[in-house]
Amino acid sequence: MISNNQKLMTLISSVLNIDENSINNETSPENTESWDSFNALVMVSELESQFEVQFSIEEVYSVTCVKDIKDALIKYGIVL
Amino acid sequence: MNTPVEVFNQSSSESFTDYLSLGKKLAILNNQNKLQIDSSIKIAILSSSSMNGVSDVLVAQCSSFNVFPNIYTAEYGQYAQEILNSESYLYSFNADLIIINIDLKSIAESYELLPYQKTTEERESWLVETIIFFESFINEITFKSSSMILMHNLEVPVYSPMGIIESKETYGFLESIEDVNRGLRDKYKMSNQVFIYDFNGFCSKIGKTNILDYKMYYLADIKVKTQFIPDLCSDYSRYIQPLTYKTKKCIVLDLDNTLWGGIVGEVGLEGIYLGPTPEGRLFLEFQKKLLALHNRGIILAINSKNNEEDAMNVIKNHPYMALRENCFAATRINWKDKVSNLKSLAEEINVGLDSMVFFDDDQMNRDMVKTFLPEVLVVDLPKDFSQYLGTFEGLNCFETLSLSDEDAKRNEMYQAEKNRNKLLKSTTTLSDYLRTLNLIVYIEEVNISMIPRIAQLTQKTNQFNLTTKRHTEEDIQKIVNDDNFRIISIRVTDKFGDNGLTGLVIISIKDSVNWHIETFLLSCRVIGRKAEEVLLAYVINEAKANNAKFVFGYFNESKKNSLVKDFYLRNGFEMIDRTVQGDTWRFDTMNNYKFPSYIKYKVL
Repeated sequence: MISNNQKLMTLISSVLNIDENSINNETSPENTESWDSFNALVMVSELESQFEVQFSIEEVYSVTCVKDIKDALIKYGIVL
Repeated sequence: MNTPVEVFNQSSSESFTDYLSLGKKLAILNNQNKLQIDSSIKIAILSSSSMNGVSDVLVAQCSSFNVFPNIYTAEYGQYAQEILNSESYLYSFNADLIIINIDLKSIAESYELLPYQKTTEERESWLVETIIFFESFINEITFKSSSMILMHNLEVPVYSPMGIIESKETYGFLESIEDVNRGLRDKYKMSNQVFIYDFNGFCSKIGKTNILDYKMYYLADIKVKTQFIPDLCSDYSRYIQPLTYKTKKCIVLDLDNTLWGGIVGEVGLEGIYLGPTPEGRLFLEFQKKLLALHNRGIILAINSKNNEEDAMNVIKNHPYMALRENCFAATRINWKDKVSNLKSLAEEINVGLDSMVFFDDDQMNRDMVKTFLPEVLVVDLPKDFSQYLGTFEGLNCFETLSLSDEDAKRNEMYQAEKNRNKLLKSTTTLSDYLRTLNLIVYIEEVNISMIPRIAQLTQKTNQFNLTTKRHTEEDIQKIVNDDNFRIISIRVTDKFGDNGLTGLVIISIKDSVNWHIETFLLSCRVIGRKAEEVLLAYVINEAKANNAKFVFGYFNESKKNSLVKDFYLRNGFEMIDRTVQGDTWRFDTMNNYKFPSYIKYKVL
C-alpha cells in the first residue's frame, strides 16, 4: 500500500512538475513558479478525486502552502 | 531530435495531468529546437469562459498523430473584441482553424437563471436574436479571413424551473435553446468554412450532471471540469486531423476472433461465432459498422494467418458474413508475418502505412506491428470481444471535412483495380494491356461541382504531384473565378468502371504568350496508364490554339514525388533552370506533342 503521504507527494510533484524530494511543508506559490492559480485548481481537483474529499471554496482559498494542504486533508480524516 | 509522435509514444497519456505535462514538455522541446516538426497548424481559441489547460492538452493530443500545433488562446471573455477589431492579434496570427466557445451563461445569464421572466414572445425573439448574434460574429470572421471556423453550439440545460411541465409550455425555455442549435446547424450546412461543433452532444456524452464542477465554475469560470478537457480536445482533433491530412484511409483486419469468433481452421465454417446469438451478434454488428465505413469510402483489407481456402469459404459462403469478398481492396491470408503482409498491402493498395489502422485480437501481432511499423495505428482490442464496438466507435481517426462522390465510390474502384491487376498478369506488354482496358479519358474544364474533389486531390495526392501545392476549397473557388487561370480535369474510365475525376492541371495564362503549369497531378489509382500524357497533350494543343509560344512546367521535390522528377524530360520539355526551389522546364509549342495512340479521349 502506498502511504497517503507518498500519494500526496506524487500528486503535488506531478501537477507542479517538480521533484518530489524538493517538496516540504513550506513549499508555496511564493517559492514555486509552477504553482500558479490554474495549477492550484488542478491540484484541488486531483486531491478531491484521489482522496475522495470535497473542499469548500473557503478551504481552497485558505491554502497558502503544502502544510495547509496537509491540514485540510487531516481535517477530513485522512491519516498522513 | 524527436518527432512529436515519438515523444508521445514515450509518455503516458491517461489523465488530464498526464496530457498537461506532455503538452508542456513538447512546448519546451520546441523552444529548444529539439522537436522535429513535419506538420503544423495554427489554431486560435476564443472563449467566453476559461479554457485553461486546453492548449497544452491539445498540443499533447496532436502529437499522437505527429502534428505540433501553434495555438493562440485569447483572454477569455475577449472574443468579441478579437473578432470585431480587424487589427486584433486574431487576424495577424492568421489561424488555420478558429475554435469559438461561447456558452449560454455568458451571453444570457439572466435568461438562464430566470427563463420564465420572459414571455413566450420574448423567448421567440430571443431565439432569433441569438442566432443573429452568432451569425454576425461568424460573418465578421469570414469577411476578414479564410480560416476554418469551429463554433460551439449551446449546451441545452437539463434543469427547468417548470420541471416536468417544461414540455407543455407554448414556447419553452429548453425548446428555445434547442432551436438556436438547430438554426445554427441548418444555416451552415452548406458551408465549407464554418463547422458547428455539437458541444451539447459532447456534454451529453460526458453527462451533463458531471461536466460542470460548480466549485471550479465559481472559483475560476471553468465550465468543463478539467478531467474532461482531454475528451473535448479529442473532439477538436477530429477536425485537426483532416486539416493536417492525418486522416486514416484504410482498415486492415485480422479474421479469427476479430471478424468472427473462434478459429476457422479448427472449428470450420459451422463452428465459428457469427450471427444472431449472444456470442455471434457482436461480430455481426462489428462487421456492419465496418461495412458502414466502407460504404463511406474507407478501404478495407485482410491480414490473417489462415489457410486461404478456409477463410475465403467463410467470407464467400457464411450466411451471416456482412463483409463479402468485394468489400476488401486486397487480402493477405497466408502464414507470413503480419508486418511484411502489411507492407505489401500498403504497396498493393497504394496507401501510406501512416494511413492504415490495424485490428488484431492477438497481443503479440499487435506489439510486433507497433515495434516495426510505428506509423501504423494499432488498435488495442479488448480481451472481452463484447467490448469491440465501444473501442471501434471511440476511434476518431476517419474524419473528412467533406465527402466527395469519389470517397463513396472508392471501394468500387479498388475492386475494379483488383480485376485490372488480374488482367495485367495475363497480358504481355503494357501497351497491349492498356489497349485491352478500353481506356477513355474525358477532358473537362472545371465546373463548380468539381471544386471539393479538386481541392481534395491537391491535398491528398503525393506521388504523381509535380509541385505539391495544397489548396482548400476556398482557394480553388478563387482560382475558378479568376480569368488568369484555367483548371483542366480528367476523368478516366475503362472496361471495369469509372475511376472518377483523377487528374488535373492548374495553368496560369495571365501572360498569354507563356503558359505556366502550376499544378499537375494524377491520383495514384490511374498512374501508369498514360492518362497524364493525354492531359499534357491537351494542354499543349490548347496553348498552341491560343497562340502561346511556350508552356512552362515546374517540378518541386517533395518526400514522395520522385516518381515524376523526370516527367517533363520524358515528355520533350527542356530544362531551363534548376535551383534549390525546383526545376523549371519549357516546351516550345512549335514542336509537336502527340496524344498517345491507343487511348481514346473526349473533350467535354
